[in-house]
Amino acid sequence: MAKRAILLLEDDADTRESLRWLLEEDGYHVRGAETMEQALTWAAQTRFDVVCCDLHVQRGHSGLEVAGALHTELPQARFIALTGDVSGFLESSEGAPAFAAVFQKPVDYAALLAAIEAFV
Amino acid sequence: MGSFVLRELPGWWREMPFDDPLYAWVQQGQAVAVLGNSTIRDAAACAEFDLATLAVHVDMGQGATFAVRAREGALWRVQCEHASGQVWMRAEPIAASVRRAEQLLRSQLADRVVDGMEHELRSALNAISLNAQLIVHRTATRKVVTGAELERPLGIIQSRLIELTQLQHALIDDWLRLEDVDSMVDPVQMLKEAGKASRACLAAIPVELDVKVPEQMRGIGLSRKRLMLILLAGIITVADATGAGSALQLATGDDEAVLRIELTIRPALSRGTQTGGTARSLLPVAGVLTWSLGQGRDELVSLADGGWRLTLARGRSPEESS
Repeated sequence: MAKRAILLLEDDADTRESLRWLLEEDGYHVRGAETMEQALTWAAQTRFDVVCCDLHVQRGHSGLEVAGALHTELPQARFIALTGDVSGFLESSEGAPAFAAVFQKPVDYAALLAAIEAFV
Repeated sequence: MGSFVLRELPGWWREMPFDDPLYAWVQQGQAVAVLGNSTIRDAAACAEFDLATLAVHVDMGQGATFAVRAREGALWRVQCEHASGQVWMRAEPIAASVRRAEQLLRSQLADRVVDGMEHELRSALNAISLNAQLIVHRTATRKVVTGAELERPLGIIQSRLIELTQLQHALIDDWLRLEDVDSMVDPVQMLKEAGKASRACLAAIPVELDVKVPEQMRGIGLSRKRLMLILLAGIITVADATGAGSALQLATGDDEAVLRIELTIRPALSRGTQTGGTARSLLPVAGVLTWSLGQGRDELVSLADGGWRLTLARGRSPEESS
């Protein structure tokens, strides 16, 4: 079976790298992006199955804003939100793509993996 | 070819051919001694250590690093240094204590974060947590994990722990700048919240800490309890001199004040330490102290009862200022 593709949008380099290592060890093809621009570039090149999106992305774009833009490029993808503030996310998520799952940081990788496997 | 020298408590030596595959030796079920850090001057940081399985291939070359899984399931990083015909080994706990710390953090800090530092704290915690999970994941799913594969996640854990502690130091400094700390509830609460990161790490370690309050601290309204709090919050990187030493300078207005803190560490027998496990219970502390020492003026002395006395000197001395 072909590897499923995951787009990982995360501004913290250590977290981005760690999650990529973990997911790749479980057989996924992962592209990491630090910014909305980089994420959109990858989205134009690859048909991602899942987008893991940190909702606190810096450099002028909110995570929800980025997720909305990515949803336009990747309508088939399932979106997973990674956030440090679930309550704040729930209060301000109007207009954002429907997230299939929301994970609060620090992220439990086993739970995240289970969610991804259920989606793909 | 040199000798492979392992030192065991209470101080006897075992030699084996340097080119013997260590894993074969381990598989024979013999106890392996783990040395303390040779960079800690005259430290008795060595411990008897049983290895049930050797999780990684061992390359006994200079500077080799590998991981071992102890019988109780804890995962340790062992670093070998080859010098003067001898191989010195240093061990540090990795996944188990970090994982327990992460679990504590998850439960204690999840809903109680510090205003203005939430993102930084959570980012650091998240990176620490994920890399601890990565190490556990790799060692659980593979027969062989090379040292090189552990170095990067371990490096991230260490650097982000330092970052956490620096955040704590910033909070400590803010707290101590206030004129009337007793009337200010929030900064103290902030300190407590931030201090949970280090305290959670230390909570996984079966030791008892005691601190002798320096004479200098007695006149500035810091209780023993609060000094302990500072130490617990900042012990991991207290060597960076932005912790208690700078706090003293801030509190006294003396830029050249040097604070000497005497910290005694003993195994906590009441927390399940077995007979013969004294040194093993202290070994995790060695990893913590390794990060704290190295500033030249610190002293670590082994005690007859198996404990250690650590004297930290903080703040700039007149010689350093000039």
